[in-house]
Formats: sequence, structure tokens, C-alpha cells
Amino acid sequence: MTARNNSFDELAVLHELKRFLPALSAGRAFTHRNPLEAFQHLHFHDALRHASEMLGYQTSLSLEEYRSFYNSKRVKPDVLEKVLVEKKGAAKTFEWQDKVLMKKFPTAAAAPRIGRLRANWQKQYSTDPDARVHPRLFRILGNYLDHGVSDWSFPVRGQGFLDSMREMEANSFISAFNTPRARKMLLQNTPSIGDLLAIIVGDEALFKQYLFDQQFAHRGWSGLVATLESNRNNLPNRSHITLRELIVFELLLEIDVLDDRLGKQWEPLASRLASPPNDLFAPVPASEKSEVLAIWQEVVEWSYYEEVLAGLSRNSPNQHNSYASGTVRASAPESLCIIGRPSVARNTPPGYRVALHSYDFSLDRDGAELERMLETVVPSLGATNLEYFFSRTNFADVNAGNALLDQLIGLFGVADGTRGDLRPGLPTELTEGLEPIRLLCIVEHFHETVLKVVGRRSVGRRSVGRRSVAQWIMNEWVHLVVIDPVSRELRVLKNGEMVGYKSDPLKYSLSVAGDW
Amino acid sequence: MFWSDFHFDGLTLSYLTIGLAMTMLAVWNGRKTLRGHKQWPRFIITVLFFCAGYGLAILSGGLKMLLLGWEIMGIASFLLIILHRDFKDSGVPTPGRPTFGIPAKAFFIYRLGDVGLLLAMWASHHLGRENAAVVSLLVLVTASMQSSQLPFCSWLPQALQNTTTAGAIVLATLTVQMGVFLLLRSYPFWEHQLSIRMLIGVLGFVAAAMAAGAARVQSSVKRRVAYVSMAHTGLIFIEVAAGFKSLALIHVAANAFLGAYRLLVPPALVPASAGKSAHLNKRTWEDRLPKKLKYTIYMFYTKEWGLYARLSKYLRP
Repeated sequence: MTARNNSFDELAVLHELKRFLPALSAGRAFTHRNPLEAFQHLHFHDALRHASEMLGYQTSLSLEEYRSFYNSKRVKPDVLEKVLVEKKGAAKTFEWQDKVLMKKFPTAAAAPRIGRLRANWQKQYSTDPDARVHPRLFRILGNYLDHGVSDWSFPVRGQGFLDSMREMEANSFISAFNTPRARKMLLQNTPSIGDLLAIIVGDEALFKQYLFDQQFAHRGWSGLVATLESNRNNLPNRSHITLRELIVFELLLEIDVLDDRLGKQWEPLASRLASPPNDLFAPVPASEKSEVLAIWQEVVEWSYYEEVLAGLSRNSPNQHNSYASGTVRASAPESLCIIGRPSVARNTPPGYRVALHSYDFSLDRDGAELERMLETVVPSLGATNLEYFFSRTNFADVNAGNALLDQLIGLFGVADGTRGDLRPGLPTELTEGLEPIRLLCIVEHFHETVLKVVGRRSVGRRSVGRRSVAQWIMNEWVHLVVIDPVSRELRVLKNGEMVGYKSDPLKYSLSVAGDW
Repeated sequence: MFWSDFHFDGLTLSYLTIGLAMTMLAVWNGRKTLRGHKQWPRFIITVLFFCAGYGLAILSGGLKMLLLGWEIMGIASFLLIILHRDFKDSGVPTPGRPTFGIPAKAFFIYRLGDVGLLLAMWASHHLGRENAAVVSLLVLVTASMQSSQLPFCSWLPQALQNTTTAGAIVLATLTVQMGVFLLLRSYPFWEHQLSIRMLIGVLGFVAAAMAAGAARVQSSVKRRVAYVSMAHTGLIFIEVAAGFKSLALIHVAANAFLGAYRLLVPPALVPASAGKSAHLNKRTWEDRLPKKLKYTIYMFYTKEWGLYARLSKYLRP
């Protein structure tokens, strides 16, 4: 083995990988994490663009779907105009309106950056290790993690994954491997990820990208393993597994398959690379299409919020103004939350589900109480909301069209029939018919105070959970609207500033009356 | 085509009943899951096509008609396996996209089965009674292909894994049982040949042992159904070889309904961190085996005897 300089830091890469992998809990339940946690230091729309270009995630609805909302009048033309003016300026509104409504973009998106390095196995060696590694890996993993489908569960119990496999190998006449080298490596010592990658990839600069490519080829399984590890959940038979163990075992299987296909002597992947692959983590420039999608997303959201906000600004404590329209919307769960006096919520139009958190601004001049409330309310509601959001867009589902082939694996997950990877996100029954909408958090207070509170929070505290609240709000993963307790004026937090929000209640209630 | 080409007896009646029940179940399930998808009309037509083939085969009075039904069923099964595919957007093959290998395998097995039947037809015409052994052997080969028995036992798990639940019901309950039908129908041919009967019994026994083991270690629900179905079919082969025809028919029906039940009522997913109770730590009889033997057998079954990979190797595009 050649001497290596230590540019590959195993722990750091594993840590980063865990952040990027989709969280997946056994049974497809809520994970209470932002599915795009790794991107939440970015502004919302930038994050969507990066996630889709880097990892191939589908982070928004398709353009056709958005346009069909417009055609079926689920989003309102005046909201579109308002968003356009706000984002592009009045001068360019017409130009962009045309792009948003009419322009045809190439349907097939370019392949994402993930997977490009490992595609070279096919190009340079004309062999695809995944085709033979995956079925074996998934079968062994499925049996190891099984929660009760098989009658005869994995015979080694109460140990880690690699230890279990080593125990099996040492005491079985039949090996999980087909060639001796990988088997010997497993039995004799625990090879480090770096050692194995030196054999397979060769060039240390590519190690990280190779691991990302490899793990994202089965992001569901890796995500499940990472979640099990971080929750310190033992399996039913008291066994446990870590992402590192999974990677080591997969690399061993890969060596096994390559030995089998290419003979004993083969050169590592890096030696045959024609040109170094693009950097996976380089920033993604905005494209016209991504901007159009971002505009549509905003339009859908503000069409939805508008009615609520119109009701609020009309509302004053002494006025009982019953709402006339009988609209019932397929409202996304966890998409509205009010922090204020109960009277604020009185005029919410019917059909909207609002989480009301009682709070009196007059008892909390400096916002200390508000800070505490934001800290408790936003993370839980926001995470659930984002889980709904990205499950609706099928964020990590490469084969979303093949949902007909789902098969249950080991009672902990649902696998895609053809590729065998687990599906991340919530089951489609939960998200069908919903519009993906971010959480709108309405706070009753003076806007200077709120901005100060949010700003104070973004200065940065030690714990990640606390910082993420400010991050979410500042980067607009959660919309924040402030309602002035005295003037009933509405302000929206946009790009770190409080911008006045105008909704014309008179015009609006007329148009509603006319529509319905 | 004449009426004399058809034949109706108890065997036909029982297969007709099973076929009717299973097709209804498949369509009922398809209605729930596929309706609204563009595959729904495709599914209905394919199932009707399959029924036509099935009906021809079980009502046939001779090999010619049987062969015709067999062909139609073969094509329909292939269409059921590829039912979910969207052919329009599959212009560029991406690395994640599944290859055609698995449906191709089922198709290939069917074609082999047809060849077996054709040869049997030819042999029965030209070789006459004295070479009944050849005819019986060819029939046996066709039957074991159809029923996913040894040595062609790998197509069923893969096919089930790659098809919709509605299609899986048809494949796992009807297609697989047709092998048994063929054996029962040709019973008079090989009734008096001890060697053929022994061979059927041994094949059935080995397949049953293999599939039962593979089913015990499966963690995927659909594959488990496939292996359970295969194991039962192996037992049915033994019953047929021993001459218990009525028992075999009852077993066929029971196996079909059990398979359909398992596919239609999948177990519920465990909620995250729900009570990880002790029942998962249950000890099975295998735990009493010596360690070395236990691990060997477990690995053996986890790799599914290696048969699976071997046949796939030749069918990889």
C-alpha cells in the first residue's frame, strides 16, 4: 500500500455524509428533521437549487403542475404580479410573466453531479459494481435489520454489524464473498475506510466524492442506518449498526466484485480517469428555470396565505366580522401558526388549520418571552411542515413513477421494487393533493422588537437547535409575518428586513364574494 | 376448431374455480391500486388476455389446444411483469434504471417451456407409445419451468418483486399452478413409469426444501410469498407423483388462496421506536444447531443457493 498524505479525514467525511443523507426512521414515520438540513445555512430557494443540482433531489413541483394551478385558478393572477414586481422590479414584470407562464424549458434536466465519479466504472472498465453489490448488500442488510418478517432472524445477535459479519464469515463454510481477498481483509483486521478506498479509488483527493457517490446510490438504506446510529436505537435483537460499518462492508463487497470481474490485478479508478470530475460541492449558479420555479413556489404560497392575512388585518379586538366565504381548502397540515392573543385568530377564514399559541405582547416588552416561544414552536412545527413539503415534491425519489412496485422490507421500510433502495419521506397517501407550502408564522408584536429578537437569535449560540431557528427564519425556511398590535399593519420578513405587506381587505372580500 | 378439441372434467372444474376467484381478486386489487393510473386499461386487457389463455389451456382436450393456451399465457405473463413500465420516457438509460433482465428471464423460461411442449407433441406423434419416457420427461421439464421448480426456480421471486401486487396475484397463484395442471393432465402418460414418478417426487422434494429455507430467511414480504408458494408447489409435485390427485388439487387451491391472502394483506410497518418486544428474540429450532452448521445454512439460504445469480449472469444485457 502506498503512503498517503492525510488529506482524507474519515470522521469529518462521515459526519458530513450523515448531515446530507435523508433521515429515515423505521416505519416511514416523521423524523422531525428538516430533510434538507445540510442546506439550511442557505436561503430557501438557493438551497432548493443546490440540492437539486448536487444530489438530484426533486425540490419543487414540476413547471406543468404549477401552471396547472394557475389555469385552474388555485393561484391568483394578482399574486403572481405582486411576486414578479417584488422579485424582478416593475420594469421586467412583463418579460418575466411571459417566461413564467409560457416559456418552454428542456424537460429532461441535466444529470445531477452526484454519481458522476462512479459512472467511470462503466465508462472506463465497462463494469457496474452496483449491479452486483446492491442486491447482495440489500439482502444482507435487510436480514440484519429485520423487525419481524423472516421466521429465522439473523443468527448473530447483540453485536455490531461488522462484528456480526466477521463472526458469520469465520464460522461458515459458505462465504458472503466470492473471492478470497475481500474475505481475508474482513477476517484479519478491521480495515479503515481510507485503506479500502486506496485500493479502489487510489487518489486521496477523490475519496470524499467517491463515498458520497456510493452512499447516495442507495440513499434510503444509508439514511436509515445513519438515523439508527444517531438515535442510538438498538435493533430488536439488541444488535446495532453504524454508517461506518455499512461503508466498510460495502467497500469490501465492491473489491470482491471487482476482483471477480477484472481479475486479481486492476488499477484503481483514479488511474484511468480522463479528467478530474467536477467538484460536487461547488456553488450552483442560478438558472432561469430555477428562478421561474422559485417564483411559482412563492406565488402558490402567497395565494394561500393571502386570505388568512386579509382576515387578520381586518380584525380588531372590538369588531366581530364573520367571514362570508365558505371556502374549504386542502390545507397542508402545519402550515399556519399564530403567536399572539386569541383575538388575532378569530377571523381566520374557515377551512384553515391554525396552530394558536397564546401570547400577550403587552407583558413582554423586550421580547424575552417571544424568544422562548419561537424556540419551542418553530422547530417542531417547521420540521414537520418541511417533511410534508419535501415528501410532496418527492424530494429523494428517483423512481417516483414506480410507486406501484413498492415492497415491504423487514417491517421497517418500503423498497422500490426495481432498484431495491428504501423510499425516504412520508408515504404518498399523506401528501396526496396537498400543495407544498412553507410554515407561515404570524407574530403579534411591534416589528422592531421582533426583528431584534430574531436578529439576536441569529448572532449564534452554541447549540445547533437554537441556531437553526434563527437560521430558518432569516433564510425563509419559515415565513415570518408580524402584525402590529395597534395599527393592525402587517409586515413580512424578507431578506432580513421587515417589508410592509398590503392586502386590500375590501377588494379581497369582494373578489371572494364574486368568486364563490 | 371442434368441440372435440375441448375436454371438461373435475380437474378443469377445480382449476376454473380457482382461476375465477384469483382473477377477481387481482382485478379487485388492481381497481384499488391502479385505477386512475394509465396502467389500468393495460392491466385489464392483459388480465383478460391471460384468462383467455388460461381457459384454453385448462379446457383443452389435446396438446395442440394446450400449446395455444400456453403461448397466450406466456405472453400475458410477460406483459404483466412489464406492466408498470413507462416506455415513453425511457429513451436514455440511466444507471439507476432497471434493465430488461428480469422480464426477459421469465419470457425465456416460457419459451423454453413451449419448446418442451412442442417437442413432446412431436415425440408423441412420431415415437409412439414405446418412447413414453421421452414424452413424459419433456412434459415434466415444461411443468417445472412453469411452476418455478428446479432447475428453473429463480424466475418467480424476481418476477413478483418487479411487478404490481395485482399482477403478482395472477403470477403467484395461477401461472405457477399451471405446471401442476400439466402434470395432472398428462397423468395417464407416466402413471406406469416408476422412474418418472420418482424423478417428479425428488425434484419436488428438493425444491420444497430449498424454497422453504429461502422463505424462512427472507426479509422482503413479496419474495417470501414467492418462496412459500414455490415450497408448496414442491410438495404438490410429491403428492402428484405419489398419486394423490385429489389431495394435490385441494393443496393447489389452498396454496393459491394463501398466496393471494399474503399479497393482499401485507403486514403493517412497525412505528419508529415502538415497543421492541421480546417476540422478535424468539428462538427457532435452528438455534439448537451447532454454530458452524447454523451459520453455513443461514448463509446458504441467504444467497439462495447461488442459483439465482448464476442464471442472471447469462441474461444480463
